[in-house]
Amino acid sequence: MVKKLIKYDFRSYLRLLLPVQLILIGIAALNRFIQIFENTKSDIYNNIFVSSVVLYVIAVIVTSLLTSIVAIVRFYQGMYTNEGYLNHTLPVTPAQHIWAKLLISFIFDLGTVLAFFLSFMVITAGDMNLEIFKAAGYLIGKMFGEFGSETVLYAIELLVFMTVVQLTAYLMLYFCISVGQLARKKKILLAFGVFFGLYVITQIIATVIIITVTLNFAFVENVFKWIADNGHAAAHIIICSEILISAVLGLVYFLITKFIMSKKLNLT
Amino acid sequence: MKRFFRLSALVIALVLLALTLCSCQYVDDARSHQAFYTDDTKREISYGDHVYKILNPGNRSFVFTGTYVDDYFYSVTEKDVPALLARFEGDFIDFNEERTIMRMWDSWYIRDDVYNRVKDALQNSELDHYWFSYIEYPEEDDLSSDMRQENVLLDDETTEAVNRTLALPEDERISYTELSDSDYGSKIIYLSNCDKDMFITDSSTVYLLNDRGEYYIWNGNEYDENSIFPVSEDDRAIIKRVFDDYPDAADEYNVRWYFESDYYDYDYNDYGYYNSNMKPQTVQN
Repeated sequence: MVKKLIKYDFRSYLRLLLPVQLILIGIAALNRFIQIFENTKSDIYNNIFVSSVVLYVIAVIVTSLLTSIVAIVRFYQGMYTNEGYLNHTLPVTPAQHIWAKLLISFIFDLGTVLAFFLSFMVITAGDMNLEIFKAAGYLIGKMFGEFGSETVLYAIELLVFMTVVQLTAYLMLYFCISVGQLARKKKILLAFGVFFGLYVITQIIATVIIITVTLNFAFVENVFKWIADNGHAAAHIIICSEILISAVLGLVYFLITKFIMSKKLNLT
Repeated sequence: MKRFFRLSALVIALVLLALTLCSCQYVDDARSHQAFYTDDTKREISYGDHVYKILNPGNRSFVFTGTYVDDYFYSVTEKDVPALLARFEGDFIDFNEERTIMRMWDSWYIRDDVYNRVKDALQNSELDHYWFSYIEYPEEDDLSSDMRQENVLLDDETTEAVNRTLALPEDERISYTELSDSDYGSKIIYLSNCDKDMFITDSSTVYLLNDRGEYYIWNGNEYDENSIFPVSEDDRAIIKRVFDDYPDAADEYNVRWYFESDYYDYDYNDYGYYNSNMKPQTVQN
């Protein structure tokens, strides 16, 4: 059943996001076509080229925003509006619902990243592509030369970090929407309120921690000295700590969202 | 309908293939502004179809004159550095206008086909002429031209006037204290010795001074407060002509401040050679 759920959601996302991503690649192709007439001394060419670049940048921003908005709206509509009546009668647990939505959102995030990459390849098609790959290869080789095998570890940690942070971000949004739907009226407004409240609380906690730590000069000095002497270990610890914190937060958001969906569902 | 879609797909694929073959000005510029070390010793640089060899001047102090192309994007890198990263990974270089001489900080690389000629000129040339350089700025309304460095070789008459003045006996020299003490009291043109073709110079410095309408020559090679030579009445018109013909070449300067300030224990000439007590330094490669 979960597979069918995922399949249905996948098709729904595809109908919404694929045209946007294709338009992005189309704008990239238009920009590359304009470059055929390259003449940096011509004001007309420069104006047209700059306009096409601006259009491309806007398209990138819009595509990125739309991917997130579609994820949030699909979750809200599927779980807490009329569509929710159907979804919650399916033989699928709330946890499975959340995982399905999360998985699809993440897949389409990756799809958007792929669309960005493809559009960038289109926009730099030709000699520029070749030089970019050469430059990337050179820099990676240089990193291996400088960091050795640590490079692979950093790459893995970075991938895990980006994945966990992205999933936690979506779970946080699901949490805000779930808390928001507890209200009788103005559910979306409450969801926004929860979001901003979370942001403020996070900032306060972070500020208190920073002030507490920095007031202890000896401790800070020792920490910096240790970081200077153990650069790689410090970097790994920092990245892994951030992964852990994000994962814990994500778990908290998931559990609360699951609880609300199980016990406090408020479909009107 | 299927045939139409297949045809459209083929056309799009062909267009995309054509696009991949298009060049890019930025990449072309990056590639054309990159030179390469031929080996780890960095004594040779290849650029275009030529190899530039580092110059070993022996015991001769030297600085080349010549108009250098003011382009900060030329760089020399190892062979494996991509063109897009050349300006970040490489050493900056610039060329003279003929592209026969390459300068990198205080190292000089000479193109292989003129290397021996340049080396001979360094070893055998007489630096018995004078030259100076100045920056010519474009007209206010002329946005198409850039500022450029102009080099001027003094003619024989002016050279002889300078030499005559510098040959004055010690009792005819004056102290710097007799010059103006206002911040920009004197106008000054910096001269250096060079060969007759204005190709090689040394780090010597002689200054033409216009102080409140009177003309002097200050021998910058002697760190001596009595190194100011008044120009004779006969030579006054000759020296004045230099100031009149090249007003952009004259800087405003306070000579007294030079002698009285602790900051100037050394002289920094136009090409970055530090001369302790204003004596020419030997450049070793």
